[in-house]
Amino acid sequence: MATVPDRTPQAQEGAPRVVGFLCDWAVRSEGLLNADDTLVGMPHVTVIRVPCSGFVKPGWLELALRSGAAGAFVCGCPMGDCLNREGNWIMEDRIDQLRKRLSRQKVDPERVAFFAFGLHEREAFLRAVAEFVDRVRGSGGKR
Amino acid sequence: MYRRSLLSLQSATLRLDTWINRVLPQDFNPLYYTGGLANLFLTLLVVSGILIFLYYEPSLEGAYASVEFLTRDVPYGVVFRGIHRYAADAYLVAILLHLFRNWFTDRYREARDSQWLSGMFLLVVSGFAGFTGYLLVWDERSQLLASLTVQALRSVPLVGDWLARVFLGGPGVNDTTLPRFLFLHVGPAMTLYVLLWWHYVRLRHPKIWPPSVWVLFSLGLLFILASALPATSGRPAQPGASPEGFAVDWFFLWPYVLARWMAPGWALALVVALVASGMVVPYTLRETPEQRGVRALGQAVVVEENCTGCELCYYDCPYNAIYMVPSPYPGKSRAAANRKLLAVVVDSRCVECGICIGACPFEALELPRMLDKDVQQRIQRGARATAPVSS
Amino acid sequence: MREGDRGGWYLALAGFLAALALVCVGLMVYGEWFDRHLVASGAMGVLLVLYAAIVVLFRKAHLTAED
Repeated sequence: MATVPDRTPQAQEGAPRVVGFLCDWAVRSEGLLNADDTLVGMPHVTVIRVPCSGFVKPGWLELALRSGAAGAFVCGCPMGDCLNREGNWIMEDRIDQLRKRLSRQKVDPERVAFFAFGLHEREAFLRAVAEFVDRVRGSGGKR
Repeated sequence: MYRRSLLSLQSATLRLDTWINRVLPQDFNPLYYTGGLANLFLTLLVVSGILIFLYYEPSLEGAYASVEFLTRDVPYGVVFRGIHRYAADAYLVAILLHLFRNWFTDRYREARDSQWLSGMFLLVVSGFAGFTGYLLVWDERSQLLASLTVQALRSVPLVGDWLARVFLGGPGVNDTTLPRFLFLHVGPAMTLYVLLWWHYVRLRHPKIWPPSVWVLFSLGLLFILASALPATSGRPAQPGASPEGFAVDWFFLWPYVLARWMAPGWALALVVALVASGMVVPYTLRETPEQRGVRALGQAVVVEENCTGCELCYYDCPYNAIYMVPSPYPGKSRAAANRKLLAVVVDSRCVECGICIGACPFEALELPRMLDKDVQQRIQRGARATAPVSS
Repeated sequence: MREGDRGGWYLALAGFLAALALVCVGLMVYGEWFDRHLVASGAMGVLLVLYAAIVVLFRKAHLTAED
């Protein structure tokens, strides 16, 4: 359903900043992003498109959190369908490890997430991002 | 036109995935494991084939009787024969699914052409081994297939008669024919493993086995088929008889179905033309990435001064495009000062996916058109930007 | 998409399939004993397919994790 536009009013009053990485081959990106790389309907979510989810360095997610984002996520293709065969499996592993590292540093590991959505799953992707934003809002996105 | 239809086929393929993923967990989707499924069926074929081989007698008089003995008198012989028979069908279905899926989802271009070519060879050799399997029973169907093949081979210009002679082991069917057919069945089956080495050689961690669910299901399905529809022979082959048509698996032996409508030589020519056009598929559509609507970020480049020789990129590269070589000189950064190895990217294998960049904790790899520092800037901009004022 | 509330239903179905699988084991013994080999192998096939379905149901009931 059109849950996303409904969230826009909240987004404008101090919604938590979120940085995401989106694989070129995952969700169809036509009309998904504004000119400034934010998600349509969710101006607090910046999305950086990458050639494969496996391109993302875990350090970049940490950098996003350090720079003030409440959360950071990576979205790859459905598990098993990576164009480059295993980028999303590798990325899921890296995020698992990053979460362990974060919890050792007393940072809420729920602030990083991995999604897997295919070409036709834009609705589900946007729902997942909205849920993620709600989650990190609760878990201390303040600087 | 071709390009447009490929795009819509890609869209349809992924739509199908979405539907399957709604029913099954993502990592159980059988369409993500078509190659693994093919390998599973090939393994079952080898195992059941060895058991059948123990009973098979390759002679004109004994072949039919030995297969009948296996089917009637050996406990569960009919089941093994059925599994061999239906696993061959399932194998062909799996490799065709594999072919079309990888074709429609763009997994054959540029650096991946080696897999596509070896795949075409695998398809041809598999089809040939499947066809010679039908000859070994030496019933009327085998006789019909053999005579159609001989007709097709004879019509090849220049070398036709010679080919037919090589196929039969003499000017006509004789005592050496069935041992030759047996070799033509087992030999290609072994060749498949050589070709599989080529198919896998540029892949790290190839997915060669489906998830347990599909192993159980496929094996179960084969047992059910082999028991419910036991594989049978036709009437024994008679020297000099000219058998009429039989029900054959049209998707397996479609060239022979065609051969009933056109001269066998033309059916053979059609097969050769199809295979040849299959071989050039990776080299059609030589368009630039921009025309394809794909960002080309350039092949990964090693920043030599930062490389510590830790091998992380080497283990993560899905296409074995990174080699570790003995380091000719120490790196500049502190971590790289004592390195023993240096990563080197093999350009012809790199697909520009950037997985090695994600693997590298030392900033020693870059995609030329998406540099680490630019990404960092964008992250900081995204993380710091103030929420827009409501309009 | 969490389907926690349907987990119990999936498990019940898995239990039912497991009972069917037990019947298949019975059929396998019967087929082997009385030389009805096709019955035995057919029952084995059904058994394997049932096991495959049970593996899926366990996963859908979140009883097993992704591997």
